[in-house]
Amino acid sequence: MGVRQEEVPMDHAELNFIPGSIDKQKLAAPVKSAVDKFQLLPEFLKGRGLVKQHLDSYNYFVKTDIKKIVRANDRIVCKFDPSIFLRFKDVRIGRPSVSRDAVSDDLRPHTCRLSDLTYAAPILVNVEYVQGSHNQKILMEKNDVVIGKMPVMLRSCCCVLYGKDEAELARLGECPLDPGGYFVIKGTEKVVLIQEQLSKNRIILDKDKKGDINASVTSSTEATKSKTVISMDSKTMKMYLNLNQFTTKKIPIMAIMKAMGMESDQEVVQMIGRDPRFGALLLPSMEECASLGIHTQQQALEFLDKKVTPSAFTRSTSEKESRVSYILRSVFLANVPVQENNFRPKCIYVAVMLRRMMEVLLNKDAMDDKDYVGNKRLELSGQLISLLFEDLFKSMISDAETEMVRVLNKQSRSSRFDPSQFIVKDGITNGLERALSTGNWDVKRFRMHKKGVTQVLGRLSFIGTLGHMTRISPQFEKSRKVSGPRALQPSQWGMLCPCDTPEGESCGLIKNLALMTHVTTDEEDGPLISLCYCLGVEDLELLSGEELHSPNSFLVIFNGLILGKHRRPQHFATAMRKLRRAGKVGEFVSVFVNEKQCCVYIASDGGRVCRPLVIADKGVSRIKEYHMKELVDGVRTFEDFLREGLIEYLDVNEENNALIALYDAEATTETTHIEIEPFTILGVCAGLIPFPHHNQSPRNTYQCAMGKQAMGNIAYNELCRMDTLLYLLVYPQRPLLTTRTIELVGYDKLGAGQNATVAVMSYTGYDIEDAIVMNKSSLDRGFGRCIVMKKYSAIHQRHGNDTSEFIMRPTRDAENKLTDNRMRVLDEDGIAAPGEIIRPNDIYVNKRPSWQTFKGPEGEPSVVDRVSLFSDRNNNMCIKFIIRQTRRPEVGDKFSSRHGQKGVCGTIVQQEDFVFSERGICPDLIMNPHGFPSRMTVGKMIELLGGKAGVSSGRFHYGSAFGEPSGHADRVEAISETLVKCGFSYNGKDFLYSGITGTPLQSYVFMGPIYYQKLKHMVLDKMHARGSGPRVMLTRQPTEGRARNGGLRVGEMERDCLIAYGASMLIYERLMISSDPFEVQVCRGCGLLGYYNHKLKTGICSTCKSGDNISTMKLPYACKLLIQELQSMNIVPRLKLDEA
Amino acid sequence: MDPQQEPVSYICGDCAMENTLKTGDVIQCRECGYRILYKKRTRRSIIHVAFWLFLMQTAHGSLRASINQTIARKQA
Repeated sequence: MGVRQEEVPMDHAELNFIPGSIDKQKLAAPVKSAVDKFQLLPEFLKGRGLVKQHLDSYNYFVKTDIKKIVRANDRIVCKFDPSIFLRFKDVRIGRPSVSRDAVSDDLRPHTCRLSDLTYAAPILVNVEYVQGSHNQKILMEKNDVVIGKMPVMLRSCCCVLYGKDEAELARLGECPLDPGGYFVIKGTEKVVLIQEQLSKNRIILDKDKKGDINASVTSSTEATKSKTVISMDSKTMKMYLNLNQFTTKKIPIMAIMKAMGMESDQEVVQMIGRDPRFGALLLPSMEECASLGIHTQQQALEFLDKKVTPSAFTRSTSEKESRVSYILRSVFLANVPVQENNFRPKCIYVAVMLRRMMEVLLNKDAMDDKDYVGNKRLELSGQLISLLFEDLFKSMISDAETEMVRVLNKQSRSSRFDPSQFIVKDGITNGLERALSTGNWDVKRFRMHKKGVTQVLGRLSFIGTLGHMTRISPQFEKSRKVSGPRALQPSQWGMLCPCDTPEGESCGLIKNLALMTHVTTDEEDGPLISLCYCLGVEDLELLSGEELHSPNSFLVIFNGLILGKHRRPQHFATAMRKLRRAGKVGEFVSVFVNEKQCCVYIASDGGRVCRPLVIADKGVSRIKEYHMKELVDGVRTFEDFLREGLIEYLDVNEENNALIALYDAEATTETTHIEIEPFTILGVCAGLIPFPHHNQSPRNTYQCAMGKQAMGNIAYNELCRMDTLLYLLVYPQRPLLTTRTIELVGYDKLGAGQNATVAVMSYTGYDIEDAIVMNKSSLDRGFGRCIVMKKYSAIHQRHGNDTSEFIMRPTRDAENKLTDNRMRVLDEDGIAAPGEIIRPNDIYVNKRPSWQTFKGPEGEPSVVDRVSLFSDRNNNMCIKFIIRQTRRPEVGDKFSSRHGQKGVCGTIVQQEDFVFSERGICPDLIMNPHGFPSRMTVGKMIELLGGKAGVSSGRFHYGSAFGEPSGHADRVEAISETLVKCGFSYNGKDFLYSGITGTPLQSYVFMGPIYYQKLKHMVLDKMHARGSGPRVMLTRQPTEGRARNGGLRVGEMERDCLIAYGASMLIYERLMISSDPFEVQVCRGCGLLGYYNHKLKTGICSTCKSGDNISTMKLPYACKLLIQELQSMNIVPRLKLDEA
Repeated sequence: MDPQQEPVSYICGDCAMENTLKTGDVIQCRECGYRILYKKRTRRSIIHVAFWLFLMQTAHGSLRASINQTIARKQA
């Protein structure tokens, strides 16, 4: 498999042994050996699946987060009598089920897809509550009370597919290669897209529009969310606070410090640092504060009290605490907790923010980059659903409380008071279902209004599905004309795919995860914080302002919270990392020493992207040959590598503390980590491309977009699915030139293309502009043949007043012949039978009062493939029809290779006229060589060579990205050798004969197999022409669009051309006669439109009340409409007639 | 769904049992309770248009006669 780069063996070294000239360092250096670490990848993906990030996030929500939310809001208390309450003791998610007619059935995801159900599981709670009121109160308990239904992510820990093997999955009707990680809502598969966001609770420094330096913190705690901005005026150098709760935008920062009890200016200076430059920068702010007459805490509070937005607060007015101290306590920098009125941590936090701002002013490099991946967090389905659930759960509690009050207020109650009956479950069920099916996340409590969070899972191709699951939707809107967020960030290396992004407006904003990327989930912080203190972090409480920034000591910041400082930061970081490698601390905890900022950042929060790397000691990989052997033998798993500290996960920030070598051989003594495989920097879609490192980069991006449109196999269960539209290839093949990624994701099992023998030459002239000439016999043999399956559905509606639609059997006359030939496909039950050939306008459900007719394309016949019946949620009978059509390629169908080289079929030529080689090989398609020079897709040429060698030697060749050194891609030299061995020319060119004349072609032709994809764009779905047809009622002009059999518009530009050419009669014909001619009566006197009186047979002007000056003329109806519409708005257009 | 006619049977998606349905019936397999039923394939013979032409052109007399019979039967 791999060409290994063996180091010089020991005995060889002895031969070179010359006494006297011993390089002692070299001898003392540890022996390096390159180990093929590729086997780790399949192992990694086996344990992880391709969408672990979604599953992990959802599992975390279901196992931990939901319990936290319920624990935080665990009581429904009556407002009048606090002794009447209901308490939630525990919450869990049950098995996915559906209840029909009071019977609950277990659900399978595939059943949900087929019968338009939501794959959801009941949320079960254990409650205890007080029953009865006044004097007889009993504490009751109830277990497993359903409070709603939670949509279940496929393959998550609640799903029935969890932990099932291939055979069991097949029995459940599921494809084993399907990654899961999506939801089934009302029968449609929905993905919650990964949302990109700026880190929460971190200090971010940047410049605003005016050029002022801003330090902003978006605080997010369970209780509140707020954004605190401290800005520095670039002219006056004064620093201000910017917080929503204050009326004026600029609150002097020193006033805030004083209000928090930091009355001494000296201490502030000490906390910021004793550098005289800092003091000088702080002076204007201090002077301003003094000029405002603020010297004491009391004065500051009074000053701030006047600035508070009056309406911002209603809650704490009754309390003793003033509004200002409430804001300072829980809105201003909400992520820093205030315990027992101790504002000191907050003061220090502000001081650190100020210090960083001054550092930025003195040294521009200290500015944070918002586009840096380390400053971003990815929000996944679990977090998003948890927001939604929290909101719905709180609403349910408040609803229950008001209901409780209402019932208790009643004078006479018939039954005993029972709080457990106030739990209504519809709110949560419907709220979750609605959000997931529409994608609108409206959470009022968190002021969140996001649209398009969920999308229908694209099932056009298997790769498209996988690509959809790894997509990251941007935080910025598309309209912004900035290049920063769109540019490729160096920190994306290994985390986000550099190739896979759409073209056009969202280019660079929508990204995709790379193959090995993992997104973290939250980790409990209590133990980590105490661990930090144990490892020698000096508590913030015990530090004076002076000590804070003393040289040689680093601040320790844990998830954005300043813990304290450490005198030996490197030692501390190493200790933390050792504990992580030993498995004592969570594997995704990151430790990052920032030398510039003199800080140690420890992060355990969710949403960070990270990836596994091999640990190296002084440049020597910890993974040895025997480890890999054990892995291959199956006695070692990826988890063992993690547990034994051979591999660890690094996030983007910690990567800055590592020196990562690409290969073992390149490692130096400073190297700390070694990449597992370089091709993992690409994502799933880019992984399909053979030799992508030989292509021009945009070509790879184009292929990433096109791979999602390629037809092929969708899943193993594709023929049992009832998708609205399904494109299948009749004879899909696995690519002759594969990559490792292809094998890892299963593209070799669910391919989307065929290996076509391509001759790169010019032929017939129907191959210009990327068109391809196709061999008719290849098409007869099944090349590019595809199946299009379309779903039509009918609902047997039941109306309210005991009436319903009914389905009739086909009507027959006395001789038992059909009265209407359109009913020929119907069975005796009035529903089309599978296997029948159905033509346009045939009836497929003979439903009264309105039947449904098939509106498919004319030409190739369509067949009713499957008909399924089921009851929907309202107990109406639903019928789904799958109508199938087999299509062979025709002129105009779109094809593409895997190198962003798309083209349409230009002509189809008889095989007899095609070129052929001495061996009798005849190409399937001919491609014009002009496709190569400007596109520079060298990868495609190597694919052709490799494919040719593979075909002749009977071995699949590899073309993984950057794979030549590690042996995952074949070198051209090796391929050429194989070609020569098999009797071909080394350069892949063949000696061809013309099929038309039979004479040899003048030059050798580059010919060999290339994997071609058939794309979903086919002429049959697009071709459109019309003579006359339907018109729009309002304007009487032809309709628009193919679906409405619309006309083809002569638009403004076409009109300009015709005017320029002087073809006035053509314009007249196109814009009036063939469009909307209309005869009007125009009064020459007043210039207004009159009418035609049919009795008098004359035109009459209704304004002049006479028929004397009437002319009859033709006008486009739209023009007449415009005139009348203007008149209705009190604008009088008058026509002036003249002889022409 | 005429009561006089022989009722159309449907195949259960789970156990492949044949079921008959009447108007207003709950759609459910009587055997296993599965709620998705499929229609059975048509019993009319379907001959593809292309195959038709092929037969018309190549078939000799006796075969053509038999085809004509099938057509007659089909139309009846």
